[in-house]
Amino acid sequence: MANFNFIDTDLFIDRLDYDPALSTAAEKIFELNHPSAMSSLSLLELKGNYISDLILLHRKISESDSFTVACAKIRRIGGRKYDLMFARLIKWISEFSIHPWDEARRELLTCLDGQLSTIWDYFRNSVDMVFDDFKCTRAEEVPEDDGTNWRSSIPLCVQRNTRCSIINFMKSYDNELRKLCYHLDSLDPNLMTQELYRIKQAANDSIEKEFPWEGRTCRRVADLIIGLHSKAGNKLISSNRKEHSQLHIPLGYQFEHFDIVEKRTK
Amino acid sequence: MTQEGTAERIAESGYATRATLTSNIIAFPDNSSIEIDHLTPNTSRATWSPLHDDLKPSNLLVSKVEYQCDDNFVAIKQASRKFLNNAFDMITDTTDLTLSIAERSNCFDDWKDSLVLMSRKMEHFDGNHRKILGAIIASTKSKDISDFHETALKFFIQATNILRQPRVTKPEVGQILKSLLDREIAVPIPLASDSYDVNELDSMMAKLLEQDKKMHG
Repeated sequence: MANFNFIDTDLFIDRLDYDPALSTAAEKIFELNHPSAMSSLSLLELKGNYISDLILLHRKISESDSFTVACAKIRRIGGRKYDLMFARLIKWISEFSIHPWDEARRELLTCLDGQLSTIWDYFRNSVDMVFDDFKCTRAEEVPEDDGTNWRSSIPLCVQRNTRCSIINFMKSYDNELRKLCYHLDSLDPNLMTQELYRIKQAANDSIEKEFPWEGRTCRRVADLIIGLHSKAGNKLISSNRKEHSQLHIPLGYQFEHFDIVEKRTK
Repeated sequence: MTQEGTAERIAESGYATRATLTSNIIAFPDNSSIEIDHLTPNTSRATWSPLHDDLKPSNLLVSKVEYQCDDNFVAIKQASRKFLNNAFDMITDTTDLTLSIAERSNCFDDWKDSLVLMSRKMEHFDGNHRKILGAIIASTKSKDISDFHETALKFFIQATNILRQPRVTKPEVGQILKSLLDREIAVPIPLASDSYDVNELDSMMAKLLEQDKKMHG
């Protein structure tokens, strides 16, 4: 059990980066760290970001009756992320003709359907083991489609739709959580991030009453759960320095930083 | 029905692309075995069964029932059917060792090109077709025949065969995608990134928008 090297969520996405220097560096992490593992929370995070991004793109393209309309709908989502993803898809296809649009749309949707139907298992198969000792219900829910549209929404966790044992999982780390709370209480406020504040609150709640699992708590404190999972292995490899540099000592796991800035093409 | 009549019916259907109307035996691709069932002294029915173990008959559309049932053919336009059959022939030829390496390589490249056309032209393709097709397009992008072992080529034959069906079931999709993943052929498209190549992408999209504007006035 102790041999596994945990790989954090961000590296799964870095491996799919358009920047070949970064994707190659991320790929190397997967190659060189066998036996490798991921936390079930990482699967949930991937569903909530990368996979949701693909589904959003799929829907906007599907709903558009011209290339210009598709671009406008995608741009209206906000930020540059989605229109750059759209542009990258078109560039990847290469020699892509936008006319007639019905054909172009079919080609784009074909590529996205192919991705959406394989990406979940691709992520799972990227590592030797998925750690899911508390049996996260949300992480078992595979992205699905109805033949036309994909569904990506991750429901809020409530009694009737959740069967996990996250409360017991957190209770089993009572000592570690106490050490963590002590550490975060004395941390320079400039080093506290929004997630670290949420983690401190969730850890305190878990000590005093029970982990406030209902709603989206687990996703909001994913680094805490991923960190605790990583205790079962050798180390956690992550580009997320701000949180894990503060979590790993009190929680008791090794943290290896993957420096994205250094790896990117200059 | 006479042998000639049977051959004619199959040729019209577009399935036996190498059928001749006057031959006594319906020709099939070389990598198949031909079993002739003699039903009566005057009639025979040729069935096609694959030589290779992984291409189990139960997974193939090419069955006696399909050949004789016109309902499935009605769902696909004849031109589309012919196109799909040609694509199937091309990928089948990649495992034909009687062909030269150059020919087989060309067949593979032509088959790849046909996949892209398929994604654009096949109006009857639904989500299940697109999942298989999209996954194969991503897996073969920028690759040539030498990147794939024979078992992978056989898998592509199976997948292309399924794409010839007017309807593809979820279990069929599941089986194909599982094979793709198990063989580690599935390749994701690199779409993530914040900042790489942004100027080039913006320039490309601006040109496309300009094209679209000119087209629509």
